[in-house]
Amino acid sequence: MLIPCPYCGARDSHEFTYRGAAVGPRPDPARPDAADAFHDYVYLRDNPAGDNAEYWYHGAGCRSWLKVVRDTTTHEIKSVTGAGGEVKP
Amino acid sequence: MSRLSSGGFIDRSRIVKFSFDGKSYSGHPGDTLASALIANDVKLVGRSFKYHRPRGILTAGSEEPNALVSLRKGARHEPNTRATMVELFDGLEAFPQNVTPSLSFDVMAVNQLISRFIGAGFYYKTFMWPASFWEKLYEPIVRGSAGLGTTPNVPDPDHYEKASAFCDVLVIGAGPTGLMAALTAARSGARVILADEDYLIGGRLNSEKVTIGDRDGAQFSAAVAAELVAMPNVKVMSRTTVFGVYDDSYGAVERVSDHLAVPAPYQPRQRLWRIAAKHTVLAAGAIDRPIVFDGNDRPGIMLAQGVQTYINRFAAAPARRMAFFTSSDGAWVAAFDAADAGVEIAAIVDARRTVADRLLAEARRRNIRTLLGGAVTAAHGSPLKSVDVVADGKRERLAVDGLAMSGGYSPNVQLACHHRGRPQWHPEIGALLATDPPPRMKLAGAANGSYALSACLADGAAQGAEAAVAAGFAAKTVALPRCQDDPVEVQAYWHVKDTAHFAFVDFQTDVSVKDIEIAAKEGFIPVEHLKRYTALGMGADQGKLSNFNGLAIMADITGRSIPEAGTTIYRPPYTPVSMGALTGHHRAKDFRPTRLTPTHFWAKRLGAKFVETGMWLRAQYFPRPGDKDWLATVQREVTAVRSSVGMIDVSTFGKIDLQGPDVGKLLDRVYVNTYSTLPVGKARYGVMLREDGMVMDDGTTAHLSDDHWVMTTTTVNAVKVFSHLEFCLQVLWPDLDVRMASISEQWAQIALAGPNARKVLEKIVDDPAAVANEALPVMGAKEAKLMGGIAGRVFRLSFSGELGFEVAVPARHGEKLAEAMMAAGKEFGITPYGTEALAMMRIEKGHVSGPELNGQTTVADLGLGKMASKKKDYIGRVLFERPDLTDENRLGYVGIVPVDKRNVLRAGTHLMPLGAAVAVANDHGFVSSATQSPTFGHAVGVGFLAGGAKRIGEKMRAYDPLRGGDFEVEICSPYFYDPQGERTRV
Amino acid sequence: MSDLLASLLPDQPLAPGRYGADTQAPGVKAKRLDLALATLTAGRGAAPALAAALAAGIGIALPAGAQYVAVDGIGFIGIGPGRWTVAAEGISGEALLERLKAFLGANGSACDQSDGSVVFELSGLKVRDALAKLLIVDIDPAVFSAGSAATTSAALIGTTFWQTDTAPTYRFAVARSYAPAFVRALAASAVEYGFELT
Repeated sequence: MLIPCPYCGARDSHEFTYRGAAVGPRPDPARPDAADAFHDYVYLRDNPAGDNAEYWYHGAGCRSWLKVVRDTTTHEIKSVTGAGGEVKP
Repeated sequence: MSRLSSGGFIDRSRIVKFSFDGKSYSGHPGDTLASALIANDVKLVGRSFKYHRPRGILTAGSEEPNALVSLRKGARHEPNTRATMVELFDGLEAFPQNVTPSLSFDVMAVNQLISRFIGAGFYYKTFMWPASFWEKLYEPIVRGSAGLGTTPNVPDPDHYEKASAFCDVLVIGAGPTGLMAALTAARSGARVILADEDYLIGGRLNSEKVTIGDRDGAQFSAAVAAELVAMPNVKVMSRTTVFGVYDDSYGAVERVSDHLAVPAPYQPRQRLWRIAAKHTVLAAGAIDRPIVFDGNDRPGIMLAQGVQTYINRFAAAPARRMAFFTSSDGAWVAAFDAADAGVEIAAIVDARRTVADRLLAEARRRNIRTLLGGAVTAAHGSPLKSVDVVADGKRERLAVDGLAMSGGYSPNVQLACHHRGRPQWHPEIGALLATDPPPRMKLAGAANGSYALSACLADGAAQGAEAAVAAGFAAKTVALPRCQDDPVEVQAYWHVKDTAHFAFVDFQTDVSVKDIEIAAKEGFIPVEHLKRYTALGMGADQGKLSNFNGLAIMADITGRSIPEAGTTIYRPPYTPVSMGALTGHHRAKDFRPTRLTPTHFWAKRLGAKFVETGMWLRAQYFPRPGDKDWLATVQREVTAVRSSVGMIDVSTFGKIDLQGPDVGKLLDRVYVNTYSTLPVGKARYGVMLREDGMVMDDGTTAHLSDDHWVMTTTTVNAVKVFSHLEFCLQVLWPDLDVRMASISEQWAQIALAGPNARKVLEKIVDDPAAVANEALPVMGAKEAKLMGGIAGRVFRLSFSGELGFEVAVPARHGEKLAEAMMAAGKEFGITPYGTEALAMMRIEKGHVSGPELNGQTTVADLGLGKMASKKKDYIGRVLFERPDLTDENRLGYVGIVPVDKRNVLRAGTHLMPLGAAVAVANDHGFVSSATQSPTFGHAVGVGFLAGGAKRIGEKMRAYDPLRGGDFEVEICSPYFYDPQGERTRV
Repeated sequence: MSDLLASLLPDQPLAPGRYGADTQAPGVKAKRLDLALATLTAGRGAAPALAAALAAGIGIALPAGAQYVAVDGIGFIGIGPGRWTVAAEGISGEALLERLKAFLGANGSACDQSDGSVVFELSGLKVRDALAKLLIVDIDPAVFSAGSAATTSAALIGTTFWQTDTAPTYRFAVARSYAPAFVRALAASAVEYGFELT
């Protein structure tokens, strides 16, 4: 599977590590229901058969964290952006 | 000899000698093993899988299910090779398979007599009782009869390679369709790869007598191939099977040296290619379908395309007198070619009632008898002697030694279905065609149901142009040469009704119509169930000749249509791929790259024994003459450190350089303890959690100067921690200004440990006063010049529990540092030590390490709960505070010692109450690390016990069923050695 | 396994010399270079300011992507957003670091990597064919030319490499601990064309 890294160009998925669904933002630990919020943040996932927004880390390349929208049934990649905002080459 | 006196693409001027089943034969360059066997009148090539029925060559292609032979002797012995794909070379030795004791007399043929009892699924109903018979009797029998060929037991002397290739257009199949597609795409300037499994480019053009323009088929394909080979933007890959379509890439295997007795120097045996193509044209052609009737597996029965290939391409006649049984026009042309080559044709039996006039005329011209609306109902003789024919209500027996059959064509759509696409039934051509190919792949030619040559050429040119345009090139139209245009009519005909017993559907797995009936009766009707229950389609040929007939017959039995029956999923590989090719050079010691520490060769010179830690080679211990065994060596090293001084390379730890105004803030957020207040010149031990509250890693981070820090991680987690910090900086807190760089490899780092450690250190730093006790206190960290001006760093850290320092220099000076320490330490008897002594000492000290940081432990479990700040947020804090993770009855960190000091404690031992029954409910904990301590003279261990330190003093049962340990232990503090840390403060 | 790899233990570095096919000129040449190296990282939001400072101070146009530019023997290779590997000939790692620090200000940080990586210069008529057995990225001239760079994996070994001229000549930087394994994989791939290691 090729992932089009904004900095490096299309690269084989072996260059990346998969973290999981792109959930976020990280809950505010000061809120009164922080335990529940963090539980959902860490454990609950929609796991769709279809488009899934995910975090991938280009560890063998530019070390950018990327947000990838991928169809989990066909592996077609719909979009790739920097996970923390613009990844400007 | 059945070699025809003229014709064929063989070099008659040279003789190639080979052997089969112990007998010598000769052939010519250009022959396959199969064509040479046919030319030598060899009818019998193997015995079938289950019934051990004699079998002959069925086809001339990679779909061959019968002629599976073993090649070569010794280390290069290769089982289950298709004789039809073996290029003949001088000295080739080939052997039949699955024969006991021989091809001509196989005692296992007795299986045919009990065939009633060993039909589909019999092994689900047998070999069950009595249970005790399984291991001693049934299993050996089953193992003995399972499989076909045998593998050699010695290493493969050849090497294999893997490589990547990239192109704009990949064309799979170099027959007329593929050649036109490649030519059109290549002339547009696109990067083209053309791959074909055969060694001769041209596909069916080499097997059929056709004219294209003013040339014959073979001349045309040779000319196109020559033009393609000369183009710099084209890679023509013959002997290359594209075996699988994956996400965004294709797998292909190039048989570089299979056709040679020994690979040429420096050449691999095979090469695996990973091809990334922007667009693909699948021009893989179509193959004949067998017809199912009684005795349709007898040696001498072949598929019509195969007969045509042997006669036209290899000048080998498969028989002297043949009948043809078909429902498609193509087999008629094969009959005409056979007749023109001198084979006597007994009759063409066509299941169709009407056939094109021109074909009837051609048959009449050759005096060939034709029977329309007929069928072959049975075949007799092994090898074939006669067939029974029914037509117009009349029955007769024809004496023939060969029968060619074709029940229609099956387009080779497999690759187009590797992404779970299912082909659709097209009754007008009696074929399954792919409708949902993988992205950017199109089918063309016979693979897409276009059988006429002119249609193939046009289709190939059109698809090649379309692919080039889609890849961004301006495609130039290629002039299409004129060629015969007759429509090829085909009707699917797969089964002569009312077969008796041995009417085969799958030749390789010995599945007959009877087996499909059994499956239907027992409810295994969906084709996926039919496949697994009967093994239909599960052989090395992956059902190329059987899948369609199987599903069609099941549809008939259950009264459904073919679309209703459906097809099974097609999976890679298209044909078998050797494990060697999949491995490439990543074999044995090259499975993964080996990483060497900066002092590796110094340690090697000292006779170190090495251990693999991940990809690293680390010195494990340094044996000396007089050491009784490895344990004695390690205990000697530990004693030397604790009594004087030792040294160990610790370069493998991850090291991260952190600069910028916000490093302190980042560290506070990733560690459980506080760093932002750590003064310059100090280091601090820290623990990092995952967001779920479990401990992820530990390490020491030093504050070298304003805005400049160095973090260390464990060897094993270096990459994980780096990516974690990148996530924090890029995603969680992008406002933080921290500049991170991995410096793991930049620095060689060696630890000095022992009461004399400072005395050694003073001799190698340029300014000894800088490392005095007050100048460099416990946990101090500073830059220092060493060995006459080399810029290094010194950290006062101890993992051993003795006075300790870690000295870092740029990695190129690593050996120099080691030598300098040895020289400076000589007067103190300095002892190099390895990972075993390191582990022994840290267990004596009670430090947690890998076995304790197992992903299921919290800082509280590890006895480090006090480190966790209550005043700041850090990753993992909220979920760490979950009630279940702070429950006092959780497995907590403790020490364990045997009551009888002679007992050996082992990691993995369970801790159970004294007198309790051995049961999971009584399993209170386990030993995570243990060692035979020379310092204490007995085993000491650390581990986890429900309730933890509360239970210090309790006596328990240490139960180790795996290694036979069962003795009493006492729970104690895990901090055996110098719990107050006085020895590190000197 | 190729005879070469079979006869060499993983921790026996390949000695300089000619290996493999006895061709007129070696098809693949590898030369170990001694370069000063540093990692340069821009501060948050400070990449443009850093680029301006280096343009003014060294006369270099800091590459915005995976490119290689060089001036006066100092090369800058883009390895990620806001990150560069700096490679210099003829000066020490310490001197390179000092040179860079003179222009950083608050806009970026640098650290010495001269010992962290080993750099090999690869060339020869068959160098692309040999590299096809190691790389999973496309280095065809159509998509990769002089001034192109990439950080990727070669035979499971991380590497940053850049093309310095159209011959083609490449420079491959690999982590020090992996250097012997890299030479092993390179030699195994190159012996069929004739391989020279210096």
